[in-house]
Amino acid sequence: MPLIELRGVWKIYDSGSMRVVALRDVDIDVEEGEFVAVVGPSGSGKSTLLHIIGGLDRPTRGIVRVAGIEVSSLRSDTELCKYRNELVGFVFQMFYLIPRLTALENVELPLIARGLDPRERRTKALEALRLVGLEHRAHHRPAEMSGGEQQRVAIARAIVTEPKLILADEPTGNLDSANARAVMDLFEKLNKALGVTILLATHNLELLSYCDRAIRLVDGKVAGIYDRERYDELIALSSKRLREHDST
Amino acid sequence: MRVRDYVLYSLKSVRERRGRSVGAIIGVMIAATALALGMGIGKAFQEVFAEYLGKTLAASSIFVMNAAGLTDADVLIFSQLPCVKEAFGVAVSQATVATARGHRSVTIVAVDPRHLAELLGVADLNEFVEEGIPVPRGMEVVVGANIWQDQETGERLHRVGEVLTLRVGGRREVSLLIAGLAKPGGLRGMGFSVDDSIFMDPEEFFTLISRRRVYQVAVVILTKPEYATEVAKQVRALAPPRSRVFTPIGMVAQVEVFVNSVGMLLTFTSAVSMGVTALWVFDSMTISTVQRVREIGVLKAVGFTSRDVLLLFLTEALLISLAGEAAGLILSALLSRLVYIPVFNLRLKPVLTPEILALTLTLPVAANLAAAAIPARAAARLDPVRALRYE
Ligand SMILES: Nc1ncnc2c1ncn2[C@@H]1O[C@H](COP(=O)(O)OP(=O)(O)O)[C@@H](O)[C@H]1O
Ligand SMILES: [Mg+2]
Repeated sequence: MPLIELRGVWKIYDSGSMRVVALRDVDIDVEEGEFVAVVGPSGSGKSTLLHIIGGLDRPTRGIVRVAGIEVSSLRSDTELCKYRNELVGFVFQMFYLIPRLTALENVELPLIARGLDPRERRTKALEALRLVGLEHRAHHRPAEMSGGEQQRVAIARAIVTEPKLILADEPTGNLDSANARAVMDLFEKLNKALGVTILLATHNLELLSYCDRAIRLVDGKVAGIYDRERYDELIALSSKRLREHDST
Repeated sequence: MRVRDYVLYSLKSVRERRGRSVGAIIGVMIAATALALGMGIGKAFQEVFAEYLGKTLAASSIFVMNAAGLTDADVLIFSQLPCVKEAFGVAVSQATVATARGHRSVTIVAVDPRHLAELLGVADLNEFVEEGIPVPRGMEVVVGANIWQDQETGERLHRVGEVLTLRVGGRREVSLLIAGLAKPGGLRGMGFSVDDSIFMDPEEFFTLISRRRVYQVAVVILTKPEYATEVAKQVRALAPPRSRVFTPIGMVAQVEVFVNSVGMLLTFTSAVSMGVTALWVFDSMTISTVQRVREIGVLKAVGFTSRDVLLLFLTEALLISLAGEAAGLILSALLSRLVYIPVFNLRLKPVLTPEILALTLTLPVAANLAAAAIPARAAARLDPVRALRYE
């Protein structure tokens, strides 16, 4: 059984006057332990897909199943929160650390939500910080850290609950290439060493080398699924698209 | 989530917005203090005067004062008015007693021993004295507590059986015999302080102290307190010119009006302060929810429920309110000792009963929680996807 299973998933934003179809009949399977990229131009529905899988948003239609849980039919806030807390770790482009909290306190947040006792919480959070190589920054606030460090703290926050799945939405979008590489190396380590399944939304095709597979979205539709052997094809496709874009 | 974590997390946010938090804390402090003192002063008034009116003749009497003096005939006329039970005269004169610290002034009060109990507001004259006989007769007098004991040290200055020498009218000396020592008293009688008085037999008073047989005060006792205003009108008409006629009940009513206005002013101050603070809390919470949209999104993404978010924001308002309450209660306790309204020879100090404290504790907190509830609910309902979207 795949870890993630999407069947006929639609997401339609209907604001009365405007109707935007963000996802269109999406079928996806991701096996446990896979490192999968979700690529596609801006506005193709990558973030929406991640939000729906992560239980932050609900599909308009279709079924989303993660680790045997039918996420699309979770109705109560409590159930959704429990699901997000226990199975998923989010990493965002803008890091989203809470500025007044130290790195350690930021990492502790998911465990606070869980109601863990303070000592156990601290131990786990320190362990997560050690895993991302930032134990020495535990008592620093986000403003005192570089972007790369902040993103690694955010990753520590995502893994502190030992989730099965990490959903990373453009995690390197705000980093220079050296820091981007450090963050990607970290994801690779988590994937290989801990077996965490990673879904990475990006429009940066250089990151494909880290991933086992790439799902290409265009206008909310799955336009193709590419494994390592066909990455060239994918890269050629998007550069062609870029050229077309330039010429118009 | 654990209760402790709600508090710790909220505390960090309160501390981050120090300026706004302090403003709200001061607001709550003012509201709580004004509320406690406003209600406390009303309560003090009720307690003191309920006791006072219940204990003395004051409620059902009328006082007539005249510097030139009221005659026995005047008193007789008053006593024959309808609804009047009886009337009696009280002669008063100033004198000085020699003490180790020099001369101290005292008031000689001459009243027929049959009316002394009524004047003092005691059921039994034996309650009136600490030692000796309570009834002045001939040269024998009863002296007030400030005369027979040192006011500061409580040291005894005179005993029963001793001779007390007074200086009357500047140079004349009069010697009297101490028959009784009055108990230190609170509020008894009207227009004079029991503790500074010497009670004397009128017959002796009119031979030794004053040659003119006139009274400075006449007390008219009614059959029922309800008649006070009506009878006072008639007494005013019949009394000699330049007499001052007043009913204690009327005076108490005047004081009550004053005390109530002070109380209302304080309560109003409290209400305004509470309102302003609640608006302030509402405003700063609303700003806070807008500024912290991403934070709320992150909290929800990592598993905080809507209820957790709601409680986090409410806890902030609660912490601010409790800090203000703590300051307010300390301030009220201090002020209730220091601040008073002088009424007659009494100091009316706010009384902080458990009921008043309970109201003081709950009202401002409730107002702030209600004010915080609106932005807190908005925060709790925030759609995490919207909160986290980055464009
Ligand atoms: N709340 C919303 N209301 C209306 N349209 C939305 C909303 N959120 C996203 N969209 C639209 O859905 C489409 C997919 O958006 P998104 O998932 O953010 O794409 P990507 O992450 O690939 O850039 C876009 O056209 C976007 O404008
Ligand atoms: Mg996106």
